[in-house]
Amino acid sequence: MKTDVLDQVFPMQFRIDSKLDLTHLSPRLRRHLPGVDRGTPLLDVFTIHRPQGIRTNADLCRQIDAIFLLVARDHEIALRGQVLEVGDSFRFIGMPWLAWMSRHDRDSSLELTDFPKFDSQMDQQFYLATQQSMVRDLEALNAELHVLREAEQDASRMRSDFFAVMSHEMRTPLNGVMSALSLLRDPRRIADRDRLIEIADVSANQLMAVINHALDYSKIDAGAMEPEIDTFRLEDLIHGVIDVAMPRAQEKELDLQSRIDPNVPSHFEGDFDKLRQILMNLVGNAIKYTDAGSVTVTADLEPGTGRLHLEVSDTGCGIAENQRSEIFRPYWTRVRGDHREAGTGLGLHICQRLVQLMEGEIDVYSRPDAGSRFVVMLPLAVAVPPPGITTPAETALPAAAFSGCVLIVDDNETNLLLGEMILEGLGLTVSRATSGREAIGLAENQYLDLVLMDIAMPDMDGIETTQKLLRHRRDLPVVALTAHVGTDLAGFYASRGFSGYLRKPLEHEALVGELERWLPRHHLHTEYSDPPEPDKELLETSTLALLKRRVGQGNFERIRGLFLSETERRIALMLAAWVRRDLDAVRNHAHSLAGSAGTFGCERLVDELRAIEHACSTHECERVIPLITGIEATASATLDRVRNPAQGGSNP
Amino acid sequence: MYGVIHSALKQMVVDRHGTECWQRLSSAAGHGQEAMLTMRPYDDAVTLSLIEATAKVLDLRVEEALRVFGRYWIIDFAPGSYGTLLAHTGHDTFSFLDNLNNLHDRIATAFAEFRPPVFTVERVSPDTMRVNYHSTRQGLTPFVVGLLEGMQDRFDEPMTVTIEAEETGEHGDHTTFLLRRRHED
Repeated sequence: MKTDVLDQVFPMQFRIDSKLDLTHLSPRLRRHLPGVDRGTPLLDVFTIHRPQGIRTNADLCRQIDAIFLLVARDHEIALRGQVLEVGDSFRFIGMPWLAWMSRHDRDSSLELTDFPKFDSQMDQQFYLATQQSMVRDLEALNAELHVLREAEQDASRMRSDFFAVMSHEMRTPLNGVMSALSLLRDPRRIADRDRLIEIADVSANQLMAVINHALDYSKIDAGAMEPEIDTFRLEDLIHGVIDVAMPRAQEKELDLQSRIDPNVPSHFEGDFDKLRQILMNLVGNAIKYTDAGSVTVTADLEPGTGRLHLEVSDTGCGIAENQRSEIFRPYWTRVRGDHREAGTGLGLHICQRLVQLMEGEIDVYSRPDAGSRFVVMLPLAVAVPPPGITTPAETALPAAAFSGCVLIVDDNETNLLLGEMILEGLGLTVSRATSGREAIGLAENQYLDLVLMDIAMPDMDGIETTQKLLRHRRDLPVVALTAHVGTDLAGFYASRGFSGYLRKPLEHEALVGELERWLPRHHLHTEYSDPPEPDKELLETSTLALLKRRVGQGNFERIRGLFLSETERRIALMLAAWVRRDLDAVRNHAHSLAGSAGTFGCERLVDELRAIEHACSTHECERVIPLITGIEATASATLDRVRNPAQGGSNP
Repeated sequence: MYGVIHSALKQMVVDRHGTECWQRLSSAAGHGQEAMLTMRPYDDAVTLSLIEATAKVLDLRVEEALRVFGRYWIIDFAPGSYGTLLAHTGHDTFSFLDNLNNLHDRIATAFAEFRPPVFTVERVSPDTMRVNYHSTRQGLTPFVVGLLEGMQDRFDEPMTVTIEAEETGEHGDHTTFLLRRRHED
């Protein structure tokens, strides 16, 4: 075979003569052995690593069948191959000895074209590198599997704990309800009737709280809870919580107060319901674990960040050091003495998750027997107060009453009965239907102002029933009653024709709020067309005392001063408006004053102002005259009592 | 394409944008860790979906994402995993391109379903090379552009890369590049 052809097939090859002098080197080999000329002795260029003992032609012939391993004396190249005897000369054909060159870090000079196409050494390098990649793949998969397995085990443990705790916590109050109701059936228990009803009521509320905890926890855990942002007034949030918690605090004779720093803006953007839930939980816990002293809710701004800083502090039993790090964990319940408190142990955990949902922080500072401080930091945006909001002295609306005809639809007789009782208690005329078909029949024969529609009913469900009702009368408001929990229920039911929705079981506030959207409302107080009762108390001292407890002594003095000066001013303005027969202005002043007077328990003044307000609304000047004649005297006597509540007597 | 391509893509995203970014991307493409097995061949649609998801998450056009990936491949990924083989392929851009088909031939002995592109080169002058890229796949020319640009950094050879001609059709892509060494004083 011609030399140039051999050079192409075997890039690393050379020829030696019988004296073992080099007579030819392939071009690729020459590149690695610069300066080696024809005639150079082989043994000057290479050390023959194997076979050993080659010095002469005869030695070579004797071991011609061996694998030859050659290392250049300058160590820049090593070769492996075989020697062929061609006439009286020898030809070495081979390739780079990659193992030696790699081991001695000499392989950087090699190129792919130094290897014959059929040589598998480079392929082995590639296989080795690929094998290492595969091992890395397996290690990565293994690590991921390990993490997932641990997560699954954690989740399984959490599920087991959840079911164990929930089943216990639900059975306990449910047992209370069932036992109390069972005893109520016994005619011999008539004397205990009120007490048993109270037990059933308390137990039912406890069960509701457990169910709410379970639902909240599940929803948060599933990532299905999102903050619902709206503008709210901070005072409404805090005072609302205080109002609900006050009865319990009073039972334990605790001082429950709130303080809002004057520099805190009045309105924020945030999720009012979740914030209320957080504060209710913290205040509830504070009252629960405080046997004497006070519970205080404060609000101010964190220096530097401007975050809203809410704090609930108490003078209670405090939390032991070793429990403080655990209190936000799920299912943690406090240990007092040698027993563990009852409860789901989810309240604080849910608080923490809700705070985190709003990108805030919650923490606790406490020492045993030295009380506790729960601190919540929230990055809430400041909001512009909506138009129409005037002073913070406006009071809550009086108890609700409505007029109209409401149809309640539910296949559950108990729910129907309870719903009918609640709605009739609110002054409504109620019709009942136990199925969608019955509801449609009733709607065709009577005029309805509102429908409360259960969703899950057999045969024709609430959605289908509603769509049929709306085909009959498009403007009929239908509110869904649903036990479903999920996000965007408003959107879901709106898209199916509902005007709103309420969650079951019905909560009074939510129901009243929904009824207010659709039905005319009137006060439960005496109609103000009649003159106010002369025997009405000038000042309800318990209301004043409650206010003082709520806001604290310092704040009470300040707002009392404001109330006194404002009342005198408004009475003067009201009288001046009456002089010029500006009934609208008289009515507005009377309305505004009645609100703040109610806060201070000025019962008779409130009555007289409401009567003036009503008379002005109906433009009955002749009725206003006797009312406005006496208002100044009533106001003056009332203000004197507010200045000195300890004075007796109710008549001026 | 083989999973090694997906592994390289993952490594690029993780190195530069973090594990969370990769998880978002992988989830958006609808693939999990299963698509990262080095020695396993995958349908080209899997590779394409990963590249498209990469482009979306990194806020790049797909072509730009491929170009970035091409650079990453030759500078960061391939030397780490196949350093010896790459070192033997060539010591400068032109010799590397000369031996690229040889390299692909050897890879094909291990990866039976490997369908690499073919590069035919022509030395126009000592400092100029014309490279013809033929691929049975469409749309991967930007990756090659990134490779060629990356080689400049790998071999520390400033070069101008221009596209002389470009064709795409049902049989694949054919692009002609002209590489010219720049001698910066």
